[in-house]
Amino acid sequence: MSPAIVVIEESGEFTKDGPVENLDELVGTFTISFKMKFLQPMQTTDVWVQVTDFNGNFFKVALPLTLEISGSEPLVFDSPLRQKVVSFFDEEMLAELVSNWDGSTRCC
Amino acid sequence: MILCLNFGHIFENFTYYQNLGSDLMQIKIILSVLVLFSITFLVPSDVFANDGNDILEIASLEHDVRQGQYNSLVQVDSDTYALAYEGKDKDGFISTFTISSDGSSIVEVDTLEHDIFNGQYNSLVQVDSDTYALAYAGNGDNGFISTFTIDSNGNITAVETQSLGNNLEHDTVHGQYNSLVQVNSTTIALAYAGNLENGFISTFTIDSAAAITAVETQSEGNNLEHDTHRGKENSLVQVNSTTIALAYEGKDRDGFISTFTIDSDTAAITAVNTQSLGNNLEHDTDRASFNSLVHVDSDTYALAYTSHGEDGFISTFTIDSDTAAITAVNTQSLGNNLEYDEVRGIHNSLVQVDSDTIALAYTGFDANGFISTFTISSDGSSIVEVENLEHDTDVGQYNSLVQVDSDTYALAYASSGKDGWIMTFTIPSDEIKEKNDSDCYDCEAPKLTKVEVHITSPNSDTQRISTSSEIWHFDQDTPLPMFGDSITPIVADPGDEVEIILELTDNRTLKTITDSGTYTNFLNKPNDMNLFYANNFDEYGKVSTTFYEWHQKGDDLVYDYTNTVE
Repeated sequence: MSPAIVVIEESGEFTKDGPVENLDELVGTFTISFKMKFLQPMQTTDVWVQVTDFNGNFFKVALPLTLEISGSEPLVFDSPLRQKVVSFFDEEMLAELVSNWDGSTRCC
Repeated sequence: MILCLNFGHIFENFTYYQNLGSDLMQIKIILSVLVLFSITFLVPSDVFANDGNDILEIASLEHDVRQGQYNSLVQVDSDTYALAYEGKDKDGFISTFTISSDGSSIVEVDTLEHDIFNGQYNSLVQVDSDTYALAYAGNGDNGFISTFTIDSNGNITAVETQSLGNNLEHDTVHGQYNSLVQVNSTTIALAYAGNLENGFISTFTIDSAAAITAVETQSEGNNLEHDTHRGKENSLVQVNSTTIALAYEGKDRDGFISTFTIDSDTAAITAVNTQSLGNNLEHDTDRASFNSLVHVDSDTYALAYTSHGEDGFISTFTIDSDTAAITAVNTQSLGNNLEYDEVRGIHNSLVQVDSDTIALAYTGFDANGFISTFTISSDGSSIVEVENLEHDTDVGQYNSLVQVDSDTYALAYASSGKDGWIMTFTIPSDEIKEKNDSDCYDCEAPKLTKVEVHITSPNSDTQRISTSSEIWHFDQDTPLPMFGDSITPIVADPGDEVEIILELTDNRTLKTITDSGTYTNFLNKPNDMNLFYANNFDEYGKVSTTFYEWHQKGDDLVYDYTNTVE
């Protein structure tokens, strides 16, 4: 996960159709970005978000979406994870590999 | 045999004569339909003006197409209401209505013309379960007390009235600006402007048969002249079983608060803090008309009134229930009261909503009708306007507001052409509570304004990157984000990057946002999951096994149980 990026744009100038002026007579937005690179499949699941202010007022809600990571994980040969390499060979090539294997070498 | 059916005020006091016979049922059916139509169709085109305001108009009924002024509305039981008003030819009328608890139905039940001469400055109070006493200015603007019984269905019976020739003329000189309160189960006290428009307090007893007895009155020569200069625009409230407090317009039209005790056995009146004793409170040194005083909390009282330039003001006082001592809290005399309408605020009618909230009906700009709500702190030191609704863009005068249930209110008022109307409103108590929280420095959570989700997919074959996005904008009118039932399924592949961007606002500077997180990959809690991280659950009790928490002060917290992401 990449570090979150926070951008605060806040000023004392009111803009028409812009954000409502707050009790500190400021208008603006707080933007936070979360980045995640998915390496493995993930079943359909919710995504919840939470924001808290200095005085402990907060919301924690499920976003109106579900997230699913489908398919096989990418081949990363230096990955410590178990990889489904076998499925990337077609049947003919796999048969040739097996028939040529003499059992003298052990993998991994 | 002749049947006389009075169609009331809905259709110009139309009286219908019909031979009794088989047509009787048909007439009843027609009457019922007409009553129903009176709810549905007799709505002026300009009165429904909700415009997203939190105070909502629910229903209205034009109960008198000729005249409906000097209104005094009281609750009879949970769905029955009685109204005293000045009707056609300035005569005195009593009408009853059933109003459903949600305010959606208003039906006129009965009407009685109790005074064929005059019926102004009405003040109606309930004496016992079915007995009602009315103070009003009758023939010659003299002061009268009449009594009625009203059953739970709303049927009115005159007991001592001018129409029966047996009511009480308690002041044979003058009796205007009446304000009546029930002191105990048999005693009522009246503040009014009597001879020379000076201020007077009188007392009466009303027995279980609704018979009136003058106790201390002008007619008996023994009532209390509490202000020897002026005593108009009266609003009287009960402080406890023996003490009453009065807001009124006194000398030089200035605003005063006075207190009195009423002996619970003899109904004898004693001045405590009055002009006559030289010790009452002058709270407004300019003027104070259209007074409406209500009890807010244990010893706190709020007054809506009209001062300089017909502007509307709210002031607060405390009145000690033991000593009846009056203390100004927020007043013009202290320079700290609330000017609730800088254009105009007359014909005030204030009701208590709860221990720190009041609702006000008043006549504002261009004689239009308005409803406002205010929160008042328990000590009266803070008065904050919450909402304001212009409910009648034509005319809204002679207001009398009562509470129907926890969030429903009924208003009797005179609209265009002096016609008499009943209108119902809802004032959501949750909304008021939320606004109350604005008294606190920061009691409001940040609000989501926008969420963006971007999926970036690298293609190893083409060496290109493709991006897809979903964006949601959220309504800011609710304390928490409202998403509705629509769920967008997002499907990505291993190797894709998912970026979630939250945009938000807050009621305080955004620099005080301290924490934010995103949580996903909800699973049944794995047995070997570190409990330190196992505290973010979805609605099914599954725990987030992949999350990122940003902390303004301190290190971010990253957790990924299944090594799903990098």
